[in-house]
Parts: sequence; C-alpha cells; structure tokens
Amino acid sequence: MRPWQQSFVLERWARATGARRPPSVLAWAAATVVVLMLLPLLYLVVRATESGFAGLATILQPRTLRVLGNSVLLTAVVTLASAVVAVPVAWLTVRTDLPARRLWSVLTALPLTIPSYVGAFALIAFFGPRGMLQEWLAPFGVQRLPEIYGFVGAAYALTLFTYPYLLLTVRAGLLRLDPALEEVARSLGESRRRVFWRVTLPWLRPAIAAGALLVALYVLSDFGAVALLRFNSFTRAIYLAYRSSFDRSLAAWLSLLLVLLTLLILIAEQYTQTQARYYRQGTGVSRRPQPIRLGRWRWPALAFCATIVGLALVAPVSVVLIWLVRGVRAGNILDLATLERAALHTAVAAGLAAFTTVLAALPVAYLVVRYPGRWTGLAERAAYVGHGLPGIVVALSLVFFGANYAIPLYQTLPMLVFAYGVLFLPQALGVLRSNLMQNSPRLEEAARSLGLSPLGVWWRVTLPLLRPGLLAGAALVFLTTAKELPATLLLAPTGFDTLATRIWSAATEGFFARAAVPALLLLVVSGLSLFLLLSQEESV
Amino acid sequence: MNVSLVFAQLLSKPTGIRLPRSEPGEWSLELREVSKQFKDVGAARRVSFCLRKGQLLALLGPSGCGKTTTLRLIAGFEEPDAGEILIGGRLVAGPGVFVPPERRRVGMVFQEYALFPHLTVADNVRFGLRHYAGETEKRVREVLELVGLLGLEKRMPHELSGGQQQRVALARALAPEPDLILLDEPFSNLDAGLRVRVRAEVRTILKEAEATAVFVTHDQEEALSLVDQVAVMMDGVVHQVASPREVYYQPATRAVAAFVGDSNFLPGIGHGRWVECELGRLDTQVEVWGPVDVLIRPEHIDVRPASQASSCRVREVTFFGHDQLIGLDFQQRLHLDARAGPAYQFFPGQPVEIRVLGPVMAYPRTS
Repeated sequence: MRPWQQSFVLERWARATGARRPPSVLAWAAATVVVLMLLPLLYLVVRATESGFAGLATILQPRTLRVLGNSVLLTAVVTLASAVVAVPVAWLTVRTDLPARRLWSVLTALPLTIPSYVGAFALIAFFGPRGMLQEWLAPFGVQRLPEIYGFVGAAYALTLFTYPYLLLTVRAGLLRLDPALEEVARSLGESRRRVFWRVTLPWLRPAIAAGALLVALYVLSDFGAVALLRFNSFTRAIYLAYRSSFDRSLAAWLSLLLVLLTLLILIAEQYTQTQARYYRQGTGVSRRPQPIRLGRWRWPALAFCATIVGLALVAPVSVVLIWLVRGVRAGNILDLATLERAALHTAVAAGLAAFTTVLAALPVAYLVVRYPGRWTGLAERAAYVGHGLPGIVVALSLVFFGANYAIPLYQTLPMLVFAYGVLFLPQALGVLRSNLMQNSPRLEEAARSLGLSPLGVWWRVTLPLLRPGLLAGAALVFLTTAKELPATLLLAPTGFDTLATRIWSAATEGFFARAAVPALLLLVVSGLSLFLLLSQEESV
Repeated sequence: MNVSLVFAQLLSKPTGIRLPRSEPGEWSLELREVSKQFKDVGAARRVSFCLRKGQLLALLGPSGCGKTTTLRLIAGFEEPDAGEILIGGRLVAGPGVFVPPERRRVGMVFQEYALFPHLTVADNVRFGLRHYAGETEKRVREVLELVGLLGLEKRMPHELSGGQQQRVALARALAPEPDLILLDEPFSNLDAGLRVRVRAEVRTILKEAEATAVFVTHDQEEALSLVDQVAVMMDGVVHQVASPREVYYQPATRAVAAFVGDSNFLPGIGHGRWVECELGRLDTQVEVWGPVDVLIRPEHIDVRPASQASSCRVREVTFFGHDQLIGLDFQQRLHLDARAGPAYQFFPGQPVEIRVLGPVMAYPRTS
C-alpha cells in the first residue's frame, strides 16, 4: 500500500468510527516507515512465488517440518526459561534490600552485551570436545562429556544471553508501579506473597509480554548461536540452503514459514493484552516504595543472582580471557590497526542505526498508542514483522533489491543501516510503546488546552516525557546492532569490517585466540551503553 | 507562680492531653504516645488519641505535619519507633509487636484511589473478600449498592469518572467489613463542586455502614463538616482532639485557633475569669492570668451602625451572600474582622459600634 493510500484509509476509518483522526503528518510518517519495513518481506514473497509451487513442495518434506518443530520448541523453552530467570531477578533488584542491589542490577543486565555467537563459542570452548572442562577432567578418566551441540546447548546459551531483554522491561514496569496499589492489597488482607501474584504480576503483564516478545523474536531470528551449536532451526537451515545450493527460492520459502511463525506470536501477544490502560491515574507524585526486607532469604536470593551472573557473564568472559592469554602466550600478533578500524566501523554503524531506528519508531509508536484501531494495529504488526525476518534473509533481500533497483546504494553504509532499521525497529517500538502507554493522554490534552499547537505539544510534553523511552530504545538498538552478525556479514561495504565480522571470521577459521580481542572490545562498548541505559532508568 | 496560670499552661501544652485509659474493646482505635522519626518532614511525635466504634475522626493539619505518617502507622505501612497502637482493642504495634497490614483488618482509601487497573469494578471490590465468611457475590452487590454503583460492575477503572473511582475505592475498602477505614486526603482529587457532594455521600455511606473511619485532610472545612472528632496536628504533635464545635470554639492552643477558622488576636491581661484588652473587659471561658492573646472569632463581633461619634469605622466589606466579612478599624489602631448576616448593608467609612458576644478564649503569651 502506498503511503497516501494508507493515510486515506486511516482517515476513512476514523470518520467511520467517529474516532479522533490522527494528524496527517503523523499518519504519513508512520505509513512510510511501515512500508519501508515491509520492503524486504515483499521481495521475499516475490522471490518465493517466482519458483512457484515446486518450492512449496520442497518445504513440505518431513525434514523441513522437523526444522519447524525445532524452532517452535527452542523459542518456547527459551522464552519461558527467560521469564523464570528475569522476573525474580527484576523483583529482587528493584524491590528488595538485596545486598549490593545496584551492582546486581548492572551485572544481571550485562549478559545483554554478550553476542549469542560469542557465548556459544565460549560454551563450546568450555564444554565441547577438547574443551577446557574435558582437559581438566581427562586425568580423572572422563573420556566423554554429554553432548553440548544441539537443543540443550542452544536453549541454554540463548536463555542466558536473551533473558536481559525481559529483565529490562520488567524492571521498568516495576519501577513505574504505584506502591499504593500493593499497599491497598495488603490492607485488604493479602500477604506480601499473595500481593505479588494478585497485583504485582498482573501489573507487570504488559511488560512481561513485551519482553517475552523480544526474546521470542530474538530466538527465532538468531543465527550465531544455532549455527555454531549446530541446532537445525530455521535460520541455520536457511543459511545452509542458501550456501549449499545457492537456491534462493528454498531459502525464501523457509523464510516465509518463519515469518508466519512470527505472525502467530504477534497475534498471540495481541490476544493476551488486557483491556486495562496502564497509565497512572490522577496527578499525585510517585512515592518510592520501601525496600522489602529479605531477612534470611537474603542468602538464597544472593545465590540465585550469583548463579545467573556466573553462568551468563563470568563464565563466557573468563573463557574469552583465557583464550586471549593463550593467544598471547602462543605468540599470536594482535593486529591493532585493523582492530581499531573495526571498532570505529562498529560504533558508526550502530550509532547511525540507533538514531534512525528510534526516529522511525516514534511516529509508529505514537500512532499505535494514541489512535488505537484496526489499521494502526495492523501497522504495528507489520512493523514487528521485520524482527521475524532473520538477518540473513533481510540481507539477501536487500542485496537483491540493491543489485536490481538501487545500484548506487548497493553495498553502502545507508543500505546496511536500513537493514539494521528493518531488523531492530521492533525493539525501539516496544520500549516507546510501553512508555507512551503509561503516560496519560490527559497530559497532552492539558498542554493543548494551555495553548500549545499539536507540534508544540510534541516538542514540550510528549518528547520530554518520552525521553527515558527514547534513550532506552536507542541504547537497545545500539547494543543489538553492534552484535548483529548475518546482515553485517552480507551487506557491509567492501572492507568495512566490524568487530562482529572479525569475530566470526576468526572463529570460523578456528583462530579462537584472534576472536578474543574483538570480543572483549565489543563487551566493553556494549557494557558502557548499558551502564548509560541503567543510570537513565534509575533517574526517571 | 499562680496555680491557675499553671493550669492554663497545662491546658495549652500540646502533648498534655490526657484521655481516659480504656478497657479493651471500648475503643475502636487507640494510639498511645506513638512516635516515628523521619529525616526530613512528616515525623510523628508522641501521638495519642482514641476513637469510638462508628465514629469518624479527621486528622487535620498543614502539609508535612505528620498526619499521613500517622495514618500509615495505623495501617501498618510504617513501623513506629515508640508507642502503642490498638485496633478494636487488639495491640497491633508496640514493643515487640508488629501486626502486618494484611492482618489488621483495616480498609484503606488512597488519595489516588489506587484501583487495580487490570481488574473490573466488581473484581476490585471482590479483591479483599477471599476470606470473607459470608456470601462473596452478595457482599459485592451489597457494597456496590451502598455506594450507588450497581450496574457498573463490568467497567474498568479508567472508564469511570473521578467521583465513581472514589466510590469504588470506598466500596473495596468497606467490602471485607474492616474494623477501621483509613482515608488519605480522599477528596483532594475532586473538583470543588463535586467535592461537597461526594463528601456528604461518603459520610452517609460510612455512617450507613456503621464504619469507624479516620480521614487525613488539610482542609479545615472538610474536617469540621465531615466528622465527629477532629485531631489537630502540627509539627508532628497532636494539639487537640475534640468535636468540631469544640475545636472551633475552644481551640486548645493559639496555633489551633489560628489554623482552624478565621480569628482576631488581641493582646490583653488575664485576671482569672476575665481579661482586660482594648475592647474592654471580656469574660473568658477558662481562667487566665498575666499577659495573654485573646481570641475573638469574627462572628462573635456584633456590628451595628452608629453615630459619627463612634471610634470604630468600617474599612472594607466582602459580601458572600449568606453572610459578609467586615474589616473594621478600631480607634484607628486596631484591625478587626467581623462577620455579620447579610441583612445590614455596610459601606467603607461607616461609623459602627461593636460588641463581643459570649465569653472568649485567651492564651498565655509565650514570647
């Protein structure tokens, strides 16, 4: 649909239902973004249908169905496990007197900075055949460790490196919870434990849903971990299909199936949304609740947080460090000039992506929250589809598109940034959306009544209120972009090597030690961004 | 020192209020010298008061005086540093005793109502009925009928007006039949026109439910018109606990007199049951000796038109309809405010004569 058609339809719908009509600038901006997001998908459909039903027949083989089953199982298990890890950690670090609360809140969020392929690589280097654990246990006669490749390894690695998405959204939700809600429940005769189940958790439901959506979509589109851990989910199957036979239509058909799966998740999420509007009512100042005293539960709580941090952060970082030391000892020369350039490239690409993506997400989020309806709902779902497209498919689409329709853009930085935008817009959208939902529209209306134009309201009320959301969204996009592998691999301009591509090439070529330095650099850069994000969150 | 002066000072000493020691069960709520220290504002210092079953009490005071802290201490959201709190004769906070909020049988209505945004009206009301002995659904209907919201059970909180949200919050608090209802500035979120109506409604509902309730408010009109007992708090200290009438006509301290209602203060000298001041000899309600401040409420000054020879003139007139406030210049030195019925029409510069009605209150000058 063309932008003008989109906005025309929006207007007609608004007239028909008597709803307020979104400003046309907003509708146009949002429609443009949505159409751009749909571009790679459209090409995918074109490519797939070019091959006709022969392609469809290939994907109905049992082998393909097994791939589907694998993906569904992996996504469900990782999302559930992430929630089981993230909700208690969020609660402990926000609401209790857990010793060193601030430190834990940073440490538990830090695994976000570990790219799944680095984590998977660390896992293999530790648990794998000829890994470190095997080396240590060999003197005791242990010949063989349980298999790390396959489902268990992939689920384990993906849970540990994706739960922070849920953690961050749940933390934000908890920080916004009005303590009076819990207090009134207490005075109505509910114990602290029951209040958690009856009030806190339901309040957190939109936050958990948003976070779970991020995790599920991440798992579906993850390439690095499943490729390295050799678990045949969609992305690996698509990559293999593309690489082995150069059969783009099979890859396209598999990708379409994957998109379908994403759609199902989005519909399920829509279905579970409650009718409640989660913005604070009234004008009162938010009180900070008193931290809950853990008492003797302090120790299990600490042990829980320490275990999570140990497995998700300390272990992989240690493994990378050990490889670094081994590399230096073995006399490998670290190519510092190349590294510096790669770091710069990463920062530039990720920074551009963060800025453009948040900018693009803004009108869509605003339209969806403030002018809810059938068309805006569709627009939102359309914007989310970008995340269901695996990076490899988006990259393929754009390679083709660039080569055919936009040769000046082919293999340029704008094209790469566009691919990042398609991939990571949903993250910015999710954050902005839940932020907007909790700012009462009354505030904007109040500003209008104070004599501000719609644009003035945006500038002086909506944007300042959204600032934490904008920053959080930008930080999220920056982090994910810096870690992004498949699209970077395929779309980066010639010679534009980033930290991620350096790690990948070194790891696949077996030079694990050479992968260690860029991996550490990536961890530091990401860690700094996350620190910014968290300090922002605390100051709100 | 004169014995009567000691007595007068005792009477005005804020913490010196002695309430009769009670048998368990006689009082619905009892605070004994409850203290809670805070770094900034809102501390409570040796707060004591009692409340009979079925009575409404207002904790009245300027913002930051510790009234909300006192309410949260009663609810169990704060733990007192010292003192004892009894609800329905049961010790809920005291040395070595702290009953958590969920086992105090206390209903709470917050300023922001704090309705659960994910639950319907009926589910909000049903929330506290998990351990209810009677029939839950019947009780939900009962309280919703009491607050006049039958038919809105399926609505979500955000679909209600402010006044309706208020009543849902009240219904939710009343539903489990608590021993005590606590309301934290419950009317401050309503616009003025609605406030008077909702206030009367809430009073009727609470009386009908035979509830014992404590309001926190900074609005003296609200306190005086709504409740049976007013506890006036200033700087964490309860200055007076008495009926609204008594708080108004016999304020225990000068600060209470100044905070509640309009007041004229005149310097004078106490001579037992009368004082000597610029308006002449006035009878007092209590014995006072030495330098005092004399309290005269504006409505206790009777104003009549007089001849030009009078030394009292009208300075300004503020007409309210049901009455009028008349600013007076007495002997060109003293400003007085008087309240009069709307019948006479006064104008600035008019000579008038004044008379003070009834015995007055007087407070020993501290500085």
